[in-house]
Amino acid sequence: MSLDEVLRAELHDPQLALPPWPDAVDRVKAGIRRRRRRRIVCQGAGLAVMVTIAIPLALRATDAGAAQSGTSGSPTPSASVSPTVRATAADCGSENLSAILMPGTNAGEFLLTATNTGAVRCTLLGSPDLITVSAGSAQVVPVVESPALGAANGEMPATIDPGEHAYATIGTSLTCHGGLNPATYANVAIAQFGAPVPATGSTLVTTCPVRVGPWYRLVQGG
Amino acid sequence: MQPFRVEECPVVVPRWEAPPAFDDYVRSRHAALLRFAHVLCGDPHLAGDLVQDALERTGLAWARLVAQDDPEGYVRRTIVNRYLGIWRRRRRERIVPSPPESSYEDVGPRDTWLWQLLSTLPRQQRAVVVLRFYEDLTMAEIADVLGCSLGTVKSNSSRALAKLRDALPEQLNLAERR
Repeated sequence: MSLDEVLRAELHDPQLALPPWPDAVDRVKAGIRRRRRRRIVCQGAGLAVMVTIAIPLALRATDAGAAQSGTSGSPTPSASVSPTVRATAADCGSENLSAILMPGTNAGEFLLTATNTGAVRCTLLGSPDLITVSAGSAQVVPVVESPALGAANGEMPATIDPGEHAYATIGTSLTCHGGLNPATYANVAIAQFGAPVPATGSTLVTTCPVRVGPWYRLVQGG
Repeated sequence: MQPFRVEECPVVVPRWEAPPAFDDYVRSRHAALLRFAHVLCGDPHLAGDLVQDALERTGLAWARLVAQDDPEGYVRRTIVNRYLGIWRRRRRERIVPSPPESSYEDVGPRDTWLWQLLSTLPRQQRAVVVLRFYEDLTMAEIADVLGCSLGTVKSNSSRALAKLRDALPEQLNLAERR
């Protein structure tokens, strides 16, 4: 017998068979449920760390930048107000924008904040198109436009001066498809201004299509 | 900011339910996978852990794997990669100079000397041997499963067989004497 034959005979020896599990399906299912719970807990913990540490730091940095340019720079919409209605300016470009995605006050709610980092006033039209970027490839985030979402007090389109912010509200939900197999969108970027504008901060986790509201600028008293 | 409400987000994690096809797959294939894992790692307990782990990962990715029409390949790749990963973190099987005293019936597999010889191989060489002689994969397919180059597979295979061939005559003599 050659070595090959000896090896084949040895490895195919019926005595190497292990007894099958009597409860194979239940056993595997229980393991999968444990894994899913662990994964969701880890995602929640990561989100909590982001909210408690990373977001405040990012906001502080944004405030500092805006203060240097002499404009109101708070990332909270209520602080970025203007009593006048502005005429539409030239469209904003990716080179003149930075963005941040923060959790909102309600479950599944996020606030997308775009800041004019350029030197001239510009306008953000419509709703943000979102993509996720990973390992050099981009994937479109399926969105549903919700014209009324979060814009009751805002001026549309959003025309913003250097250092000012425009906002769009993002809605996610785990109520579709029984909450199974949620899609996770990390490294979200805005794709409507030519080159992608990374929206640092949160990861979107949803089973429903992501709802996006229009860009708006906060104005006093609605 | 005007608050808006999206649909209520459930706090409780929804219970995962396996697709019926996945249940059938586990039921029909787990015994063969156990055997494959046993041949691969040489330890029935570790084999159970490897198969459990691989099937759990497969269940989570089931929809994607079915779309790619490759659940079986994924499971086997996962078993092999987890085996190599585990042994990267642990010391390799410790081979004692002489086998413990035991009756012939207790030893288990036939040709125990070859089984023990296999356990002396480095894990990657053993994986190559198992994939080649148990799974009957080609060198290119083995390279795909292990995620390494064809040259690496060939050199591992060559070294493993050389080592086995060197030890084989002596072991055969011992077996004949028994």
